Amino acid sequence: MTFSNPIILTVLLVYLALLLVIGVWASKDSGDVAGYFVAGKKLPAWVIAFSSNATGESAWLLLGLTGMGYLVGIHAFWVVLGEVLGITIAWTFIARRFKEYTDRYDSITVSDFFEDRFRDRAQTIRKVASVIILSMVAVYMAAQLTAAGKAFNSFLGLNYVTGVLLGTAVVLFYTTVGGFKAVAYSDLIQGIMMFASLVLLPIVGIAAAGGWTTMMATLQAEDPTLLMPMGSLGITTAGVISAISFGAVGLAFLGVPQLLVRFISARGVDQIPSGGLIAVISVMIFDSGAVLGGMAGRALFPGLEDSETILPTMAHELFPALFTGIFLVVVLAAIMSTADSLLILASSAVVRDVVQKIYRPNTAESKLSFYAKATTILLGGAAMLGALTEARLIFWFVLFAWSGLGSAFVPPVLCSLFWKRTTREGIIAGMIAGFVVTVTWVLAFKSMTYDLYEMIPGVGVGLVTIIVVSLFTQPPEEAVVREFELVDDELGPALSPKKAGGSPGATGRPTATV
Amino acid sequence: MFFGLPWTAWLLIAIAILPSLAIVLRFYSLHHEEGAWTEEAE
Repeated sequence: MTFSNPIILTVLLVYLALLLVIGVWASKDSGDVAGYFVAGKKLPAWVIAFSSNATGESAWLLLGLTGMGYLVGIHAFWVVLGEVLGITIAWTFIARRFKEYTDRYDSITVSDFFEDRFRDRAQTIRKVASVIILSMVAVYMAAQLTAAGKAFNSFLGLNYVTGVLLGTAVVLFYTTVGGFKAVAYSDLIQGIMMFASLVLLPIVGIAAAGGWTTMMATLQAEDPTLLMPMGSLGITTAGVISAISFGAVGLAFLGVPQLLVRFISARGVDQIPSGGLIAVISVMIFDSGAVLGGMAGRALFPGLEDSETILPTMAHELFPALFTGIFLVVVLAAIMSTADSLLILASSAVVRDVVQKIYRPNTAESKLSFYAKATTILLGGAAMLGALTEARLIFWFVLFAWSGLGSAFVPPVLCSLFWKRTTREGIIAGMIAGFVVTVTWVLAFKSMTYDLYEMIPGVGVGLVTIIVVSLFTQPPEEAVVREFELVDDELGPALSPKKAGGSPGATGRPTATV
Repeated sequence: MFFGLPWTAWLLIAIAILPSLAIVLRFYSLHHEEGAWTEEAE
């Protein structure tokens, strides 16, 4: 494959042009802070569902998970289990409550929610959250742009640096011009393309391998552990830890800010049930398709030096040039749909959380919107420099940033939504503890514990810290407890019918100001 | 073996998909409101 292949190049140019058109189309709604960061809270279920899946599943899904299916076979279904369960719990148990609170508070960011939920007048939660978001997003974003450079290089033979520059320029254009609306609608298109590719890849791969049973027989002959749920490690300590670590990748879906902000941007709580149905079914197909595609690739092309090149190899060997171009676009789509959301998240942490809420509350909306766009460009530029200079280990950085954000935010989100005794001090301590444990685990303990994934100790310590610190600090003020009970009463249980006749006035909003 | 895969592999695939599908369908049937799919944004 070279840059001179006109069919691949045409598909790529059409896709890039489409993104630019979306940016311009969405630009009329990006003139104020709420418009730029949450699309004015007007998005329908199918947009937030595909947008959250496309954001959560970066290039890691297409290159990393297919590579995992290639390398370990059925054992990779532990990742599918973790991700599907994580997304299911997020949409059924967390989304409605979170949306209800954020509508009451008129929140735009996750920090807005925490600050109002705990009446954090000193704004400490906002400050801690902003530091964590900015540090992790920088790592995550640089990894995505690195992946863009590699994708252009491996599919088109384009120079790595040019690939990074081109990827950065396109993402920055439509994100800056169109704001969250452009990000969400481009995510929708990108998500649909990822969906179609991950349906097509295993079907074509399995057919090329001679059908399902022939493919399984080929894999069985090559390495029988490819068909065993516990893989080559079997039921040993290392095998069990490997399975749990694979499954734990899904924990972050319960609270990373770039996904929670999708719930904030929904048109209303009524969008959550249909959004959940779309999100859960599509992630089942995303993940199962990636693993089965990788397994088919193993039967067809055994002995690849780098298992994460199986998708480009299959795209090149099994499909005509038009589809090779489409697969390049799909890999770029997975990268861009994550990168654009990270940019919006990081610029909201700077402009909304720091400038508007801490330093200059009276700044005009138009000025804030300008700051937001300028910050997006600056952050994108900084990540681009990181991608050009740092060590190019894509998936290590992605999983590290994913677990850093997950460990810092999942325990506070769970406790603030489901435990009324949670205190402001507990949230601050738990957020810091979860984050610090994750980083420390990677640096000092991971290699000693059969590579136990850092999010498990991170989330565990974060939860225990919140519970212990909350129990040893002054209980939340009465208004906070009453508000918790009202929301609880209004929404009712997630999986059983709501009792008739909730408390009068339960729907009253807004209730909190700081 | 069943369709070329050990039954334990089928069990893992079933655990990965069926409980979540049951939960989300139950949630949808309880909380879905008429018109939520088609209602236009303001």
